[in-house]
Amino acid sequence: MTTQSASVSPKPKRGSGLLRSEARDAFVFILPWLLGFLVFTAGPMLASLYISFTRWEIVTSAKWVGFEQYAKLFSDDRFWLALYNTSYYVFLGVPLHLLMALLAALAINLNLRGIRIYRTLFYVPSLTPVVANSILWVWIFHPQWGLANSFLERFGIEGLYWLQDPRLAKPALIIMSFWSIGGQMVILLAGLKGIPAVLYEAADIDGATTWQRFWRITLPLLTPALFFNFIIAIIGAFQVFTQAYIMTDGGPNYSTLFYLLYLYRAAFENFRMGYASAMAWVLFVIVLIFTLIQFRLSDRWVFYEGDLRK
Amino acid sequence: MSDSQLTNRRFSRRTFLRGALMSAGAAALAACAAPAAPQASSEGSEAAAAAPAAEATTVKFLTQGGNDVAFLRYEPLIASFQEANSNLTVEPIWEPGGAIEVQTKLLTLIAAGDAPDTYWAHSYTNSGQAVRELQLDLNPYLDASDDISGDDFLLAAYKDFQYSDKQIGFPRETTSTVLIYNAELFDKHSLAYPSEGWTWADFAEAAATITEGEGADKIYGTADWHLNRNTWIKMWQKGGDVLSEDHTQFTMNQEPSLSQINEIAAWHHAAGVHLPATTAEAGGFTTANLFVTGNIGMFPQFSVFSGLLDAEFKWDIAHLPVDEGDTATTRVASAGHSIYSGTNNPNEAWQWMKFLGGEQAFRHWVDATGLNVPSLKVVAESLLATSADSLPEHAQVMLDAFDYGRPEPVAGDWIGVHREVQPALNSIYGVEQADAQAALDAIASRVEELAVYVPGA
Repeated sequence: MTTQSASVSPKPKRGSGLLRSEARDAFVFILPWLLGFLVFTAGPMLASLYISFTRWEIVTSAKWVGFEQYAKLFSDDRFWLALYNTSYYVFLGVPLHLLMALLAALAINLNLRGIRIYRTLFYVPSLTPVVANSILWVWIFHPQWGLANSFLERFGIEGLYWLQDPRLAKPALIIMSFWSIGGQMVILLAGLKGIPAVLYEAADIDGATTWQRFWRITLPLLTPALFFNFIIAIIGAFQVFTQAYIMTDGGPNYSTLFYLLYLYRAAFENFRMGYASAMAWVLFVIVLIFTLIQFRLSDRWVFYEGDLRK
Repeated sequence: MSDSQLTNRRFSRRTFLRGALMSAGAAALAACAAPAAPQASSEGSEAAAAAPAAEATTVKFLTQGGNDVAFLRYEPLIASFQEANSNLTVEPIWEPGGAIEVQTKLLTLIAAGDAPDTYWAHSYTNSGQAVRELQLDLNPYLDASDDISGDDFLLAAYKDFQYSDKQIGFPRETTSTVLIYNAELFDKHSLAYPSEGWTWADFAEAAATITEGEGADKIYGTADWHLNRNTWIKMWQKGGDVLSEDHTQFTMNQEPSLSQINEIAAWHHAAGVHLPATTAEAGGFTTANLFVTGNIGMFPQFSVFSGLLDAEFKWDIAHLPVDEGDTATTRVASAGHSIYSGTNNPNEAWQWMKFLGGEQAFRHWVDATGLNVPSLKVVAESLLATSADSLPEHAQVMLDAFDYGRPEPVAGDWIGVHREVQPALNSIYGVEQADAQAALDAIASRVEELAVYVPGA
């Protein structure tokens, strides 16, 4: 007993010198990041909150107008259109994007010859800058000379105006997003690698089919990785901008006027910083709400190691 | 200092967070301090400008950058200017991109309290800036100067830098929209080349004759009329316009504009003689690319021909068609330089502006980068001799077009107006084949709101 008690360090008492010293060191170490966050993130965020209650056009003096910008926002048809376009991209695009990433992760998790080469090939496009990707896909989607239509012609489908037809422009950008599934794929692959082999062995002994193995073991144990990817992808998709800025300029007929593109135009083409700041805060609240909802709903479908199904 | 002494200092989490919050508050307050509106500088005078400064003054100059041509345009001039003005230093701020990107940079610099004294400007962004009094009025400086005058510039280009009664800058280069045509295709079909007296009926007939083939090899009679800037020219000729004379009403949804838009729509759809707007808007290929490959018979373009030099066939330019009794007009657009109205160095900035508006600068631009029409008359007039090798045979046409050309009817948030009109035209000329009246009616109130927009009101 004496030996045992001697080997365990006594827990430092709250307020002790040791604790304070450790706390001080910890604060000093995080200070550079914290200062950077305060000056370059929190400060501008608070500033934009203030600006959203003003009429400020950079070159005019800021004038406090209370909730006027928010009222204007909610009565602006173009704002609702931009929100609809973005929601379409988020709620159709993100699930499909994750599905493609999951399928890719499952594929590159197979024990095939040369699988590392395939993993690299699948991942490489996600390293390409989105600007370069956008220009590449403008060519792929070209109605007359593009690869997409050339491919579809083999199946008798002709003359799709991917980026020029308002009905197809958003789906086209969603298809393009599959090009960059690499990041999510790698996270899901790590999740797949983390599933204990013993579970599959037990399932085999029980005579489980491949589908049952996937549905009862793989998918539930992958839900933490899926949940993480889902949250990150939703937040990222709400901020879609570059593709529309480069490929479609918000068209055709405003069908790809995404939220951030409209915000950018309000700020830097029309000088309306108050309006743009109000837009930014509304988007922040929307993303926050969806994230909170996801966290709340995650209890129902995300299973962590050691969790018991209710 | 012992450990105990160190730990005796009160450095609790609460203390730390309090300090951090105070820092955040201070940072936020600092960031919230929106810069005050620029105050128009006191009217300058040559005498004041000429007075020797006590010490070297830096004139910040925001301009297009990011490639060798941009550097070549200004670096030698900066060196020459500084050599002649030892008390002045020009500090260039290079910004890759076009008018919007430079404006974005300008606004960011102003918001940061680090505004440039002078900057590159474009007629596309001029009005949005002018309505907010971003540019210094140069008229007092011009009145006091014996070295430079508005008469030195091509009139239409000079007007591009006027807003209300103010001179908001000087044009550097300018373009007039002319008709570019593939002479080989005209010869092939035994068509007479476009010439003075050509009407729109002649144009449509030639376009129909030239149009042939299918698929990727199809040759189209014409292209690019779907662009708002070109549609507007056809409207202007018939007496129509984007806005009413007082710039308060949207008039594209009325006659005579509407019938011109419907005629261009017919070229796209019923006649099929126009490169589909969808193809032109699809990117990847410019209209100039397709012209060079022999897929387009003729199209309107502002007078920059660099994209056409690879053509392996004879091509030339002509005036746009005009019907009898109509107004011969075309579009003129210019790029140039302005002085920021909030500058602390208006006189020094004016010295630099005056230098950029002088013959030495224009001669340099022609030698260094060529092709674009210099807006200084004396240099523009000698352009045909100095750049004959790289210009089409009838290059005089593009210069003559400045005599009758006009700028866009800029008003309020003009970029916003562009942003409204082009998608509406795309929906009329493109896949949707929208009804012109309905599509233009739908944007009318929004355009009017943008056209009369008064900042801060």
